[in-house]
Amino acid sequence: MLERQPYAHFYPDGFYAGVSEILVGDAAEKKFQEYRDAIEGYWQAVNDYRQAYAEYEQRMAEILEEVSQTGKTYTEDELPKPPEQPSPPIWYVTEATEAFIVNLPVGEYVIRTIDDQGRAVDGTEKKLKVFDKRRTGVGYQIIPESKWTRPVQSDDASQILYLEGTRTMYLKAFRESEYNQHDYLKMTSLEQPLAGAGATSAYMWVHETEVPNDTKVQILQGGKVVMEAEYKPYYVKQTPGYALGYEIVEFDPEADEFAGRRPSFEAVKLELEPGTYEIRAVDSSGRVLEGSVRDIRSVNVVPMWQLYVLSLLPLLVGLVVVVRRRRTRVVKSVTA
Amino acid sequence: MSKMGNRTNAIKVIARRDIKSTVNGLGIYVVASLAFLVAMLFVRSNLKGVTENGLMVMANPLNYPFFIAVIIGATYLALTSTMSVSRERDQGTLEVLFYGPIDSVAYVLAKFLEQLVTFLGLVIVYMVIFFVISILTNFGMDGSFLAMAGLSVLLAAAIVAFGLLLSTLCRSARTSVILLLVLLILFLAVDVVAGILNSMSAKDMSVTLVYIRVAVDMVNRGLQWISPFGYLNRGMLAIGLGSASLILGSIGASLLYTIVLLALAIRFLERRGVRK
Repeated sequence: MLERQPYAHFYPDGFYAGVSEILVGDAAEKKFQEYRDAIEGYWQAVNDYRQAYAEYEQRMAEILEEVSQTGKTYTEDELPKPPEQPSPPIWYVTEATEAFIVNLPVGEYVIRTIDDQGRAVDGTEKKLKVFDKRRTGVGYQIIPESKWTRPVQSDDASQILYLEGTRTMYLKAFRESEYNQHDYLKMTSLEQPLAGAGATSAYMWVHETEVPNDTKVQILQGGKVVMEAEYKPYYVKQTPGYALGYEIVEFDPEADEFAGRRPSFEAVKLELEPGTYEIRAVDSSGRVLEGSVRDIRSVNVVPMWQLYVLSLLPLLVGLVVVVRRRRTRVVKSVTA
Repeated sequence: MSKMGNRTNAIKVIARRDIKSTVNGLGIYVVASLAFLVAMLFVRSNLKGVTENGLMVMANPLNYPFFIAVIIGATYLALTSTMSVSRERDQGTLEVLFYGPIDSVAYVLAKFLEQLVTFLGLVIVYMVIFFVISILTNFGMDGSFLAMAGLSVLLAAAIVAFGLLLSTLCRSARTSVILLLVLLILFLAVDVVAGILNSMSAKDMSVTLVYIRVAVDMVNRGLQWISPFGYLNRGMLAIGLGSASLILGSIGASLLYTIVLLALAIRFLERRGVRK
């Protein structure tokens, strides 16, 4: 028997970042109040900023007038500094509401609401299925330098990344879990009656959270670590003259060319020559993340005729066998 | 000599005679080459995918071409065993054989053993050629390939047993061959279509496709215990998950399926008799 409890969703990296936590009871109300205070603080800071900016503009106008009248020049240090624009809080908390919080082990249940007399309320009986992940691992989103808007995914550790020639790519690693497709889609799209229909025997990997930014990716060759790359911010720069139409450059927040801009993505950059490699993600303490190992292989572009000739080998052997058999028969019949 | 000894001897003699006949004929070599040519189309497609995109993620690019080659080889063997039983009945050879120390058990098991031994030889050739392809292309050949090769023997055993059952059930060679081909194509088509639909993103599926998926899923679930491919899928899944109990379970289920088919083939041969 469950009673209503206040709860709220807390999104530490913002509503659209996907990661959320459920806060229950006083913690939910406290966090929501904290969020409201942060928002109010932000608007106050915005007001202060506008006022400071108006004063700054007025002071600059006065300086300009003075310069034009007197010809007196100012050094950069003498000029007033513009006020810094405040940033809104990224995190978000929903308003605390009351609900029945269900936390059950894996299994199939029936739930219903009962009134204060203990009688079941009509139409409240529902089926509830609690399911678990089948496997967990680390999935990669691989952004090829040549097609940065079309990343490829490697979710299963049995998958191999095949390359042709020297390639540059950017890797983002995610913690992931594998769920039954039917159950997962039913849970996430309950409002759609056909969600997950016909997918009872299919499984899907779900990227849950991106690994922390201090995670590194090691590249191994012959079992030895040959390179270690870390997460860095990158910016996609449009370049009309460049063959791709863009160039991916490392984002430097201090550089003038990136003033007022944000990085396009954060990832681990890999530049690989043709060869056979193994990659793995390691945390800040150097521990290999489970399920993060992948093989990388460069393919050899062989002429197709070689493969087709190989296919005809059995036929050639067969012809030899048949011809030899016929010759043996002829020899036998001549001897007889 | 005891009855068991006679039976074992008869199985050996028939199986040896048929294996010799298969090895000395051109058919098995033509089929092996055909299987490789078809498999090469898939290898080519994978290779082209990598060269065109520059970068591609694939689980085991040689497993599916190998699977195709296995299907072609196993189907050919099932067809030859089906035809040979029907032909031997039509020509009266079966009747003559049964006047000797040969019974239904010995005959069916000999036919089964012959095809299984031939398939083992074929799988070894497949593995050698795929190993060469792996070296030429640098496509990976991991443990799952070897596991698939092992499981393919169980698949071939099931397909051959299925063919033998049909040959003892049907009145004519033509009927049994057509039925075998139709059923194998149906099983394979359902398996492939279900695989494709399961790999598609369910979020963006049209309503029509969702209904098709529901229908295929239902048929596929129904066929999982009838189709030999269902047993192979279970085995591959168990290997992918690395679960020893599931692997043993799938091998056991596959063996049991083959034994049941062979037992039914023996039973039907006894019931129908050996006269045409």
